[in-house]
Amino acid sequence: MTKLTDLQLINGRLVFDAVSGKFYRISDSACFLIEVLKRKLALDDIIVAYAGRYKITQQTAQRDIEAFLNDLGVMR
Amino acid sequence: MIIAVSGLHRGDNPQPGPSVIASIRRRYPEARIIGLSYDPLESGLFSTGHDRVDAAYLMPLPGKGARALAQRLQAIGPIDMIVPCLDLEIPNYLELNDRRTVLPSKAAFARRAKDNLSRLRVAGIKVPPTVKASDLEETYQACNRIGYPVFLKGAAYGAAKAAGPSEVAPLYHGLVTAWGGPIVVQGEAQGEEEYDVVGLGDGKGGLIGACSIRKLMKTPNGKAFGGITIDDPRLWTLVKRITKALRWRGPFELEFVHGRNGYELIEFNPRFPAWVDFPSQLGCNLPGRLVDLFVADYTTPAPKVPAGKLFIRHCTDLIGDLTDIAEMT
Repeated sequence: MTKLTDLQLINGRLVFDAVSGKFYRISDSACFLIEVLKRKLALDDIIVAYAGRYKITQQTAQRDIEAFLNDLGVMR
Repeated sequence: MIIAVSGLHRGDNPQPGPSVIASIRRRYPEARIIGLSYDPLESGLFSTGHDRVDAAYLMPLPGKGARALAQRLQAIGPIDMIVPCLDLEIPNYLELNDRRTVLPSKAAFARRAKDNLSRLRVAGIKVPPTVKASDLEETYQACNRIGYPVFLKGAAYGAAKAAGPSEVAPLYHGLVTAWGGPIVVQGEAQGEEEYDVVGLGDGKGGLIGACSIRKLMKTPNGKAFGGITIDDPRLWTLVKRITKALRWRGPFELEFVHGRNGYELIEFNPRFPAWVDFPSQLGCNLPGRLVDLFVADYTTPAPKVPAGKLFIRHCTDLIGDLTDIAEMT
């Protein structure tokens, strides 16, 4: 399980897991989410920030974020 | 200082010699490097770069034994230090107890052999089931006991995967023909990601330095053609534990597979790997510190390479002339 603290954002385009050595190309929205997750904001605050940034409803934002977390396998 | 280095061919299965030479020159630019070669066409003999040799000599094949090695070294003349870079050479140097090398004890060397690797489990190291087999019949029995797929490995070198019984006999005969018997049958480690660690032990149980990579690209026979540094405290702990258990003196390369069982050790090579100059270029110069150890029996700990640095191997064409080959024959 990847820990958020092990993830490094590289120029907003890649995310690198320093423990496993794996890296992935990421979208702008994924980069934004990792940044706010690393700041340990409350999930509700993340949803509000994400919805505001991408001009989507909070319901859609929550769904996107949950799907992202599942994909990443991130342990907060 | 005159330092002799072997393993000079950087072909599709690159040997460590040129990488070791380049690293030593970074720390000891005045060193005179002698290449110990087994073939006039070893690519490192044609290099004019940082990894070049200042002189080179043909050597008897390791199978000729320690006495032939000693005679040849004596004929070559003064050498202050020798860095053997091929697995098969090291038993001869241990046999000679050559004081010009920095090598582990015979006991430590034996404990990391393929057929003894599972003994490291007492140090808490996970190792796939490994069984030595002296003939084809024993090989089949070992394969059945472990369960397919398995890896068949030569005693000192070479490995191939057998998915089922029909593949065993040709692989067995190929390995025995190339490298002699007995062979080792090893179960498949659970995982897809391969990790390599290069390190240097002080012989007292301490680790002078190490660098861990995930293999990014591999050659058809599984050698790292590109890698990226990682920083996993769990792996670092395992490496320290292995070094301590064996009181390893000198260079080593550990090969791990990582999966649901965590890290499983599949190989312990008693020499630097071919990519050792990669961490050297980033400040973690282990061959340079090997020379420190030889000169002063002391060196400073090598700094860690930060995670996220990567190397990609880049093959180039070196220019040679028939006169170069003539000089070596």
